[in-house]
Amino acid sequence: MAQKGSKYKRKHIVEVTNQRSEEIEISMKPYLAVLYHNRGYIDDFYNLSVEDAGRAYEMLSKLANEMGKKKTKLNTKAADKLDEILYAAGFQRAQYDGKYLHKQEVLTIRMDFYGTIDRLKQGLRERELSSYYRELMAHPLQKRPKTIEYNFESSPSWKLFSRFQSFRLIEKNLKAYLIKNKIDPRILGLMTPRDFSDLVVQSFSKQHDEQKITFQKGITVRNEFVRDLAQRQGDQMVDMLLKQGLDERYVYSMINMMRRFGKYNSSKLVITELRFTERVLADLKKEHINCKDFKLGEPIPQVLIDSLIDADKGYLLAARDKQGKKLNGSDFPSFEVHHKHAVSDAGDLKSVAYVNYKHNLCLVRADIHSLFIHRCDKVKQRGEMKSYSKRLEFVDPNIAFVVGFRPNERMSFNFARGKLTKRHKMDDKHIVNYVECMKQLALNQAAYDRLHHRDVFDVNQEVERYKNKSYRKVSKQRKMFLKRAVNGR
Amino acid sequence: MMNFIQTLKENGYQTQSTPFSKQDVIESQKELVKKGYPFLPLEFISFLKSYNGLRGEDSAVLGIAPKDNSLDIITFNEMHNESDDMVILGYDDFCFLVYDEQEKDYLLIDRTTGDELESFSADGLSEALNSILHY
Repeated sequence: MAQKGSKYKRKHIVEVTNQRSEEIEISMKPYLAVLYHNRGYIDDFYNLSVEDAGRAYEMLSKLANEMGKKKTKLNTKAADKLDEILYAAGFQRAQYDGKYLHKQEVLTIRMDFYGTIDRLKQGLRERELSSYYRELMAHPLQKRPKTIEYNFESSPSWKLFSRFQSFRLIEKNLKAYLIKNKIDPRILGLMTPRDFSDLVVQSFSKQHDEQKITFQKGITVRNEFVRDLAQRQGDQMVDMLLKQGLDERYVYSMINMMRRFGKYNSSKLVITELRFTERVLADLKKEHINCKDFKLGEPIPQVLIDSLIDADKGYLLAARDKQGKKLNGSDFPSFEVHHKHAVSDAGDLKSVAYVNYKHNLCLVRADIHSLFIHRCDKVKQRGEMKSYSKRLEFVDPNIAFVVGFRPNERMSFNFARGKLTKRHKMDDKHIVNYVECMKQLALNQAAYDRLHHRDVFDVNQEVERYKNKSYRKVSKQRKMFLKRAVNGR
Repeated sequence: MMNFIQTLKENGYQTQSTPFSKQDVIESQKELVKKGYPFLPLEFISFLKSYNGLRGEDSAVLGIAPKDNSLDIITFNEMHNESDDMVILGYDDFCFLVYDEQEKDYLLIDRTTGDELESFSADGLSEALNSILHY
């Protein structure tokens, strides 16, 4: 034992004091335990709230990323600890930077995923839509063109949309709209991707003031994923949620909503009782529903729950707390669908359509998704683009459901199973390159412009000049060409 | 804006019975400015009076000290915002919805690359919110 006043005793006192101050800090900021402790930090991490787990991840990440400039022992230790913790939670740091997608491609993926397109505000139409589209839509032909004249395959912009099954399925509707309105078929070769979004809105709009237009036929990609997952793995999902100590009435109601509709937002969830209560029986009687076969405390038949929910009368079975107040879904965890392969990295895939496939999606508790998985997404100064954020990916590529960080709080399910679906095969037939399509669009537009100033230039020469040049150069040259044409030189 | 709130109601989102107080707004604005972010636009604050923190599917609108802590506008901005002239108002799985005080417009910004995906004018808040809120 160190003698009083010796340097060993002083060292010991400093260590004890440091340890005590660390413990005080940890008691106030629990996530510091992961940073300070050299042992047991994975258990410390498991015991943190999602918010604090996110903080621990961000702090370790910052420390680890300082390694680039000056490698210190502390930085290396932080990087190792970070990797260990992430691995324990089922994640790893994504190692690659993908090929950047053009924003229009990201927007198309987004439309396919959500199954909706927003209506363009009246004042923005001139800014956002091409003059070709606006003019040809505003001036229909005298005679209705034949169906065969509308060749969608020849449209460079449509090729970008037709990579996705959801858009291929609505081609007929768009064609019908154009025929009905006697729109010049040449419009297809001149339309920009933005114009096509507007055409979808015009074709599927039911009311004039509708802001969000649903164009997908049937269930959306994300809802189909959730529905299929809950139908196949619902029992396991129930067990995982019950083990988290959540109210069983919420758990069964949520999984039922997922199973039937593929919906997963707790704010809109109707939480129902599982067994008949006095209140439920009284409410059913008030609605003149025959209750003579129902007994207090007995399980409510699933058929009754489903039929009342379908009839918008789920409130008759509403679950209540001890004070008799209805349970509110937004007081319980909600879920979000996460893209396991980042959308911005979809350029790496054979087809960008793959990014929305079921095997690339994962249902995650909303707080984990927002506060942990996407923790490092940052908004930078305006104009500071292409600043790839740090991303996490799952160690197990088949992860499909996540409710926590512990191994028993995540579930694996292989949707792909190595089989090629019909959709997959069709998507493979529709692979195109964005830049090539846009280049073709510029050429089409240049050719159309020439027709309107036909005696000014030789088109073949013009097209030849554009060949083998980048889209940006083509656009620039086309603008100059138009300027000269308008000036009549 | 009224139409948008009506659409939300029709889609099953109940308005809140106990919205925040004026003092909460002042405190939050002060806190945001103290942390280097701009003031929240007034139209957004009036939206919060109906929906203070709202979850859609894979999407959310942030709020002033809302019931759901993970939707707190100050905490969320501290976590995800490194700019000093923009404030994040909401998000979906693809983008953040931000208000740019200098340009006086609303933007959808790609979460991963920081690319500007869409822009909405100063009077386009309901279009901007509608764009990120999926129901």
